[in-house]
Amino acid sequence: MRPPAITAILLTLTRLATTHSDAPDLAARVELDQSGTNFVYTLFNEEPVASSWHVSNWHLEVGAPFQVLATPPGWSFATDYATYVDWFSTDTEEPYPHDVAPGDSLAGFALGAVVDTPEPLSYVALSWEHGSTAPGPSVMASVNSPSVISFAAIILNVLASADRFEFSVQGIPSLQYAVEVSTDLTQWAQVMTGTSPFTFQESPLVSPGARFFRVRYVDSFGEVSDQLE
Amino acid sequence: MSQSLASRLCRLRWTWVLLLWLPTAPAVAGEPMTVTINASANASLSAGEVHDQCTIQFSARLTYMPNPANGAYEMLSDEQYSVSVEGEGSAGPYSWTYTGRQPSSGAASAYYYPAQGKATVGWHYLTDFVVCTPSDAPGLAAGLCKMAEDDYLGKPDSGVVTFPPGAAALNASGSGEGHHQDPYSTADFEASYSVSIPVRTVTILSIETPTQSGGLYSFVPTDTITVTAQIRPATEGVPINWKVHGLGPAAGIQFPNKRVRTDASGQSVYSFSPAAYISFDFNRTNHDVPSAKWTTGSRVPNPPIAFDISALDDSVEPPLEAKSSSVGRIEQDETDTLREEYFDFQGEIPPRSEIVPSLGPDYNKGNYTVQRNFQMQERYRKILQAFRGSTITLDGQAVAIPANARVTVGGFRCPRLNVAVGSRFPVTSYHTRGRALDLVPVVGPVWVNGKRRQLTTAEIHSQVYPALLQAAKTQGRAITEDGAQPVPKGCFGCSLAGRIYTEDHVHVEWD
Repeated sequence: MRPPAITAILLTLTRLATTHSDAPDLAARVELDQSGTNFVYTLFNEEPVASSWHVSNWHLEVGAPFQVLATPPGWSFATDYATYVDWFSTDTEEPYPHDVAPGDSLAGFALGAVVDTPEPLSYVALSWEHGSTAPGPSVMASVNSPSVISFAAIILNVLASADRFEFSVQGIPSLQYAVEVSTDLTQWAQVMTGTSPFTFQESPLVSPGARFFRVRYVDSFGEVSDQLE
Repeated sequence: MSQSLASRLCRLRWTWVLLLWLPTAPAVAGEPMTVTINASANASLSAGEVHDQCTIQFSARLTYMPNPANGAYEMLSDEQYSVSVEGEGSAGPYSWTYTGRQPSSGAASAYYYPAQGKATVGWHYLTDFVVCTPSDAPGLAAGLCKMAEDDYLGKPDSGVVTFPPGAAALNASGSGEGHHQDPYSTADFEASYSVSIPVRTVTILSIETPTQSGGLYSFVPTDTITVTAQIRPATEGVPINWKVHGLGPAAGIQFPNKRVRTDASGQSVYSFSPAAYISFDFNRTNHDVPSAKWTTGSRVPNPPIAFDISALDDSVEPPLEAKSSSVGRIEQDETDTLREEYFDFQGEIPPRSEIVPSLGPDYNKGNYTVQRNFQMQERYRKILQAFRGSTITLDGQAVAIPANARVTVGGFRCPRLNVAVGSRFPVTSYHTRGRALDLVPVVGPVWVNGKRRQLTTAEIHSQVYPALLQAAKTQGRAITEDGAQPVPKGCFGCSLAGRIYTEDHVHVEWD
């Protein structure tokens, strides 16, 4: 019979060998509980209880500006507040008490987004192998995440008088929009930019005659790469 | 001899099958029209009778001539016809044949009542017997008779029935009973019969599009849709009026009608290519309702375009119509609905072979459950493999990218989705061609100096992104970008033209 220590070493080596070639997926997942613009996630480690793979990190792709509203104790995050958030256990030494153990779950990962529209986006959960102190397997799947479905803005509260014209612009909060003006609906000139929501006001009126206004999204967030130019 | 045998016929019950065939070409007013009647019947004895079976054959060739007074067709009164009866009676076999001519006062006639959708056919034997049927049953061809004498059970009808000018064919079927008083005995016998007369019909014979998928005849606008209509009885030269009815997003689009004459087999073949019609393109891409423009951004799939194509034979009254929907649905499947987007944006329509079932939400960011793909998975795997084999420098030490590192991927986008997310290149973007990936590295903790440690954001940009960029370059042209803005590799809060950027993905594309 092989001594337990040797068995553990062999198991570790086997896992290392496995993870360095064609790594098996970690049995872990993420669930969302959404309430309006609040997106609250729970992380589940579904490895067998005897497993040594503890979840230490997870990464979520996001498609809208957001704030991190909550992070579980012992965890921290890195983010650009627009396209991703990386949550991770802050433990650096064994026994890594804040890692999510096999069979356990950890709730309280919360985002407050500028939109309430979800879209299935990728997440990655990564494990750390306790005992061997080496990276364990990971898993990549998708879960609903805040995402801007439309950048379109609306114009509200239009007021017009002999010497004053104004309206409100309501688009995606915190994103940049431009007000443009035209006399022929063909040639447009930008007259101001603002961060949604904002008010456009002209007083006194710049020129007589009919003019048309429109609002365009001009922020860079959400733009996608097209091709090398 | 035959008369004596025939006289033994008592209450025979007959079943007739009658075919009445009108000329294959439409009758032209003022010209003779010939009708041939063939009938056969098996008769069996009613219960309690002593005789066995007999067969009835009846044939007549009837010619109708136009009446100059009103243009209606009337049967020539002297047409010859014959009836033969053969049977096996208790006294042995018998046969009976009668040959005669139409009495001047009688008629063998057929008539189609378009308004009622019914037809009648009638004939009689000089003075032997008459078969009468109700003439008011829808769809029936009924015998009519006009008798010189009135001592028959069948009641004489009101007169000669004529064809209207231009009547080309009749079609009806039915059955009924008549009575015959055998002239050689006092016993009556009953006859039952059925009649079937073919009329002009128009049916859709076939639909052809490049793809038949899931019960749909699918297409893109540049394809040719071919529909074949069949006229029966086969008639050459009938001008079939074809009309295309747009359905779904094509509803309301006006397409010109087209007449295509039938060939010798009675078939009219119509071919239609939607892209050939300006109305099709105009209505769907340039009209003034922004939300209805198919060249705007959208995050939902387009509904499929569909057509119903009708073939109208208006050379008869009432006109006969058949629709392609009676055979199948001319409707885009999801693959062609996606291909349609490339047509709408005036791009090159990809071949169906490049459209595959969705490879998953990562590879397929489009609006459909199908997507374009050209080697995305294969190249992604090689990039991931190269990335995981990379080495980065942390705290002055060379550290291998862990094997559990992942790379999230965004792949295909359909043209409308591409516009919806801000692209200026709906059809030329490599993403809409299934030949590009947007990659984001995800690296967990590493073991350095005896401790587990997370990578800082700065290290991710200075170490990990360059490693991923290098790996991506093994599979195509690769750059780092912040949104749509190309930025230098490792860009973390870098300034370009007065704006601050941070790379958020590696874009790689290939031909």
